[in-house]
Amino acid sequence: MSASRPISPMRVGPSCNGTVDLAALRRRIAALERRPAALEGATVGSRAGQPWPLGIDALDGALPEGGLAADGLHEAAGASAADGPAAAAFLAALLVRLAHADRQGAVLVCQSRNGAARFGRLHGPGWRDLGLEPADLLILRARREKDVPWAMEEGLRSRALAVVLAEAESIEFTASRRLALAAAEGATPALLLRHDGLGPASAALTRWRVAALPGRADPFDEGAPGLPRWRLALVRARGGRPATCEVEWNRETGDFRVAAALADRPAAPRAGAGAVEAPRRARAVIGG
Amino acid sequence: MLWAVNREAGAKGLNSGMRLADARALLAGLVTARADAAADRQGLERLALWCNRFTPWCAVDASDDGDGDSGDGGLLLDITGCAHLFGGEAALMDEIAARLSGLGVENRLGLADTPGAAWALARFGPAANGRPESRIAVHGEARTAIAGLPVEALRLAAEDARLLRRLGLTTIGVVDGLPRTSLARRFPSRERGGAVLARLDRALGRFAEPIVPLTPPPACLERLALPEPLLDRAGLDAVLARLMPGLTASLERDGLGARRLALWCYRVDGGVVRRAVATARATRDGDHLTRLFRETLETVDPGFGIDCAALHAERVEPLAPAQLSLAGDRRKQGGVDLLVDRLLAKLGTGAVCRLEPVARHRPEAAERAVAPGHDPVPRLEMPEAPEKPPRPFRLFDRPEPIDVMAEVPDGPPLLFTWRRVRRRVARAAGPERIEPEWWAGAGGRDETVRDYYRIEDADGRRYWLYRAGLYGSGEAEGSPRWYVHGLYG
Repeated sequence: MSASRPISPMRVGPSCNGTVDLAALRRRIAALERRPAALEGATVGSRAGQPWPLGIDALDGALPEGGLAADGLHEAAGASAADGPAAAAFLAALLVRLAHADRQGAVLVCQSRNGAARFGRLHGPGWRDLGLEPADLLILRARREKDVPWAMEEGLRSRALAVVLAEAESIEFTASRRLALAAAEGATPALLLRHDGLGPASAALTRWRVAALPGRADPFDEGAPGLPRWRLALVRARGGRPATCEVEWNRETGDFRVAAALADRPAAPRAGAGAVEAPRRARAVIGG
Repeated sequence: MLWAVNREAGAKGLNSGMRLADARALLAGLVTARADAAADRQGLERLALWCNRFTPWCAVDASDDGDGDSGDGGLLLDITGCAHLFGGEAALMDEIAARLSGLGVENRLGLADTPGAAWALARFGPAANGRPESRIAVHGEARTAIAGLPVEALRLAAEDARLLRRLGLTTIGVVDGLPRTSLARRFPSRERGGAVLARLDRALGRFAEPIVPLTPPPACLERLALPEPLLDRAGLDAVLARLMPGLTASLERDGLGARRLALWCYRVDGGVVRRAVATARATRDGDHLTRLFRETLETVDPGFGIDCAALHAERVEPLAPAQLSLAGDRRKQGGVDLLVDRLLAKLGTGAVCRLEPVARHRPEAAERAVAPGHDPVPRLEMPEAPEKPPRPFRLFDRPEPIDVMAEVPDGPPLLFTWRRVRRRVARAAGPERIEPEWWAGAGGRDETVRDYYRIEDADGRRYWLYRAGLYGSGEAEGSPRWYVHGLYG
């Protein structure tokens, strides 16, 4: 056990006057908290250890590792029933980013027949526009609703995929716990779209509530829709804190951006925005 | 008419072909059942399947079909290369006889180099009385073994056999001793003479008589006879674990990979249960194949017990020996294949697919689902417009009709009702006109022009709408209809 413990308190002390990678420490602690079993083996460290930032400080700062854990379960649901497609689009954006981060992996998307009827089936040309080649997309359409989590778990444990996305009518706590464990074990990110809204409890590392917002016009065409804009509410983040942000998704660059109305504001008028800035300042002090 | 009689009735003087009234007069307590040739045939086929436990090359004997007086069907088993597995030919005969008797099937066996000679030995050979050797023709000795048997043993038509007997030719040896031409000349027609000679040649191996097996024999096979019948699932798993290494080793030796494997379970009561799994790509990964069986074995009903199991590689493809690659991607690709196989094994074929573009204009026809193992075919690239508007990532299988208020004749919608909610359009881009190909519209199929709009409503939700048809295009077509075809989010 002592051999596998990477940093002892003795070694942290002297290095404090020099450079301490606070983010790496945090990551390590989070790993200790979350999956003690994984540390005993050598499974941590490949791509699993790398958290994956959204690129928005307000949200990344609220996450414990400065980004989404790449081996965890992340849930999203629409803020209302009509916002389901917006949540689906947000997860699609995450999926494309993750698939790009892991160059060679295929992507598995699990739907049930009912789920496909609800917001439509996946459309290849649209995914190509989002930046994911349809050839990398494995689509599973299960006849029964309960086969969807099963297939998701199989996909996560196979370790062969870059990311797994599933759509479920409803997921109980036990099932979500199982999926979270499978994601950690398979070192594969798991994205879950919940049609029933965010339920009372879940084992997901982060839970997002997504609402569509009226966007700006296309810069080259006054009347045409421009970038999609969502209000992302990080309802729960294990080891982090809730946060809300209005973002725009640019599918051509694959980036999130704080929506202009918020970014243009001169000062932070709300307590929420101020708290978001706090960790960055703290980091700067220690680094200096 | 009596179709067939069992041994006891035969001992009392009944035989097939007798009239029922006569038989009743002879034997008052006769129990009869209506003859059912189709059921007989089915029973024989079931038995032939069951005989796969002895050799993969089993067939229902078709040579005595059609001449009506038979009620005793036969099975043909090609045991080439199988006898040593059971401890020699005599031991195999013993085992077959004992197992058939155990099923309540009265049987007579014969073994020879040709199906014809085996047929003769089985039906007319010396009584076995526990000595199966007496019905085995040693390799190359088929002629001497059947020389003393009556001419009926040649599988002749009844009238031909009668004619031979009338000529004093009572045994096969005598018939074979005659010059062929003079034998043929004794028959009233050339055909009948030829048929007799052909039967003779087949029995003596001068003329090949192939056996067509009931089920195609597998490329590789691994079998395990169990001393105690299995009754539970755990035992079945253990059997599979015993069989799999042998099969994968033979596949590897032959440079083959399995596309379909089947586990045959032979039950004590004569039933056969077969469970097959298919793979997306040829493989000989034993662990993976075992895992695929996990789901299907749930449904095996062991009945009174399974006493023999065999693993057949039913469909194989050449597979180069596995090579450890330095790059990780090959391994990864393999992992995806294994995953797909597992998903398909549980959810059924067609549950997992990839999307492949198709050179068609209509969005719903512009892609098709292909099986994941399927290698991509070289595809036709459509000359595309330089700046194509983005497509939705979700598409409805069936476009959903909506009520729309729009500018006439070709403006974007201002207000529409989808799924009973009224939505006010805030921004719209389009139209993008998508017409069917010039060759696809003919024959009364859907040939209306579609104008697609990208819409954002007042709440920021995005849709892909289209108008089918044009305003003012004529009374006959009515006014255009509007649909939601996809969602952007």
